[in-house]
Amino acid sequence: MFLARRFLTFLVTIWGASVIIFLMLEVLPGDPALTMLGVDAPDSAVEALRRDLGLDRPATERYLSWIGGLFRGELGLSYTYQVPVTELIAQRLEVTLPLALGAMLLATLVSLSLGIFAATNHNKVGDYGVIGFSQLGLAIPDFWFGILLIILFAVILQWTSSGGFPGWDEGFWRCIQALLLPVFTLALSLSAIMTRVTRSSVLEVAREDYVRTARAKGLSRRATLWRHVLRNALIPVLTINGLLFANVLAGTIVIENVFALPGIGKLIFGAITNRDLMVVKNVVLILGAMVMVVNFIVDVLYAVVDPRIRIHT
Amino acid sequence: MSTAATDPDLAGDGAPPQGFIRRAMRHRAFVIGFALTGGMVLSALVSLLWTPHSPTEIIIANRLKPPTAVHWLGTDQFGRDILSMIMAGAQTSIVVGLIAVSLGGIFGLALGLWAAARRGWTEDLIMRLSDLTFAFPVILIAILLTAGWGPGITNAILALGVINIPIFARLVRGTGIAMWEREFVQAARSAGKGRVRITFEHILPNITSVVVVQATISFAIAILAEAALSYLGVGSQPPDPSWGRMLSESQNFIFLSPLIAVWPGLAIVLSVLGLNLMGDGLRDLLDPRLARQR
Repeated sequence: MFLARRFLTFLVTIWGASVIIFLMLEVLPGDPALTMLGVDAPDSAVEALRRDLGLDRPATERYLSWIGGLFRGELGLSYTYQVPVTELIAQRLEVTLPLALGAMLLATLVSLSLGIFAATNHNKVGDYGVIGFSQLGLAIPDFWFGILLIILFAVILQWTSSGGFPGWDEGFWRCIQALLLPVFTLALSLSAIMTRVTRSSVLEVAREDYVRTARAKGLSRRATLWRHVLRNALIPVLTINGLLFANVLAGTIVIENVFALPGIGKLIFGAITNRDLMVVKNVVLILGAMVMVVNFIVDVLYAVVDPRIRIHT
Repeated sequence: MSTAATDPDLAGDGAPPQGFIRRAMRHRAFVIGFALTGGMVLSALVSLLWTPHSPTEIIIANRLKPPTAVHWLGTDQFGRDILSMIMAGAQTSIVVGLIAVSLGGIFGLALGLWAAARRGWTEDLIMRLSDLTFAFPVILIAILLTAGWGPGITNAILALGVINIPIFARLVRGTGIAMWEREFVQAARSAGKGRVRITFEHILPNITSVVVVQATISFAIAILAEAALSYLGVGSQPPDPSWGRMLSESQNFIFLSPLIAVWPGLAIVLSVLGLNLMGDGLRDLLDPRLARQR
């Protein structure tokens, strides 16, 4: 029952997203053909492009043909690259996905250790140090942190290049090396948020009655931490970490531009500059859909782990 | 506003409680945050009247100068004075933050109050719509607006405002619903007051502290997002001064003059840190119950 309801919401949200994207790009004032070609373009060229893009057809028909194409896995041709949009996106995901997942993994590892450390040293020097780190991590813009890393490692130490990506055919390790600084950059603000969440979740559970009971019956501090506190505190933490996936994807858009990585973020900016609306429309929908899929999976997993969720919703 | 209507637990609603300033002065995070935020606001205000040099005047002979007695933070690739640009850039950050937060705050507050008062399908609709905006990171929304309407600071502000609406709506709805359950609201209802009157007389005054804290934090997020959007070229456009755009321009000269990529970033960090610390401080000061739990 929970699953069915949640799945329905998921479908409705994706549908809603597609409508909003369509409205924003195609129905609102402004002529895409004119924007693509520029104001100085001759009227005949604009007319021809309008026909090519199918803009002379009514809006509902255009929407339905877009959605129909999505179901068949056909996203149309990119106007600038003249290749199917699906191909473009698949290519770019080879860079964006490792970057996003690497940052998620690194941030999770860092934040779990720091968060648990801070909570077990509550109100001591170590705790304040961790709080300071997370305050700073939240205030540092990730793209600036990336620039600082480039200054340190590429300009001063000259250990790496300032960006770029060789492509997976050029060797696995060279690619990993190219992704190292971007992953670190992306993981900074992420670990700052996750550390805060972990710390307060562990602290909250540590105040529960059953934890006091466990200590009272003579269980050691360490055993209580592992068996009672962490087991209960980490479920919400992992959920929130999953929900942060949207932030990570948004982050990759920025970070790819800092390190000149040919990922989804670079693609979408190129598309905007070239007025390639076909690419913009589909990439935004796919990014949104990825976020929604992850949120859906996280919700379902959470319900599996914690039966209270299933009953209450 | 009748003081009898406010919740005695929530010191700090409506009028500041006695000794608020004294307590605030003792709260270290709040004092640091307040000072940093004050510094940002002050430099923006001063830059309206005076900057050490013109933030837009191009003197190519002066390009990429290191910090000197004349140009304290050096000059950029066009010979513009960096300190002056940073001071003027504070204006952009503050304007964007103010408008975006007000936009999100006003609409979000209205929707949240409405959802809390009406419940039922209006509430459902509002919450589903806010789910939708949560699925879209602000950068994506801004990119969409830019793709449709062309790049510019207005679109960036709009995107940031839109993303703030559901954040405030959810917060206000949650706090509002809890307020509707309270005894003093029940009493007002049995006294025959209507939903609208109760919302304005009892609910609104009791949720201001939550909204103020959120506004501070949203302001900080808006500054970060504006910087990111301007860095990407879809935020403020030349010649308007902007910290984010200064950073993107500086990256082209990073091997010649790495320092120019440091200053604007520092300005962002200090502003955001200031607002976040001030927000945390305000939460402790305005809502003692939360402070006790921490």
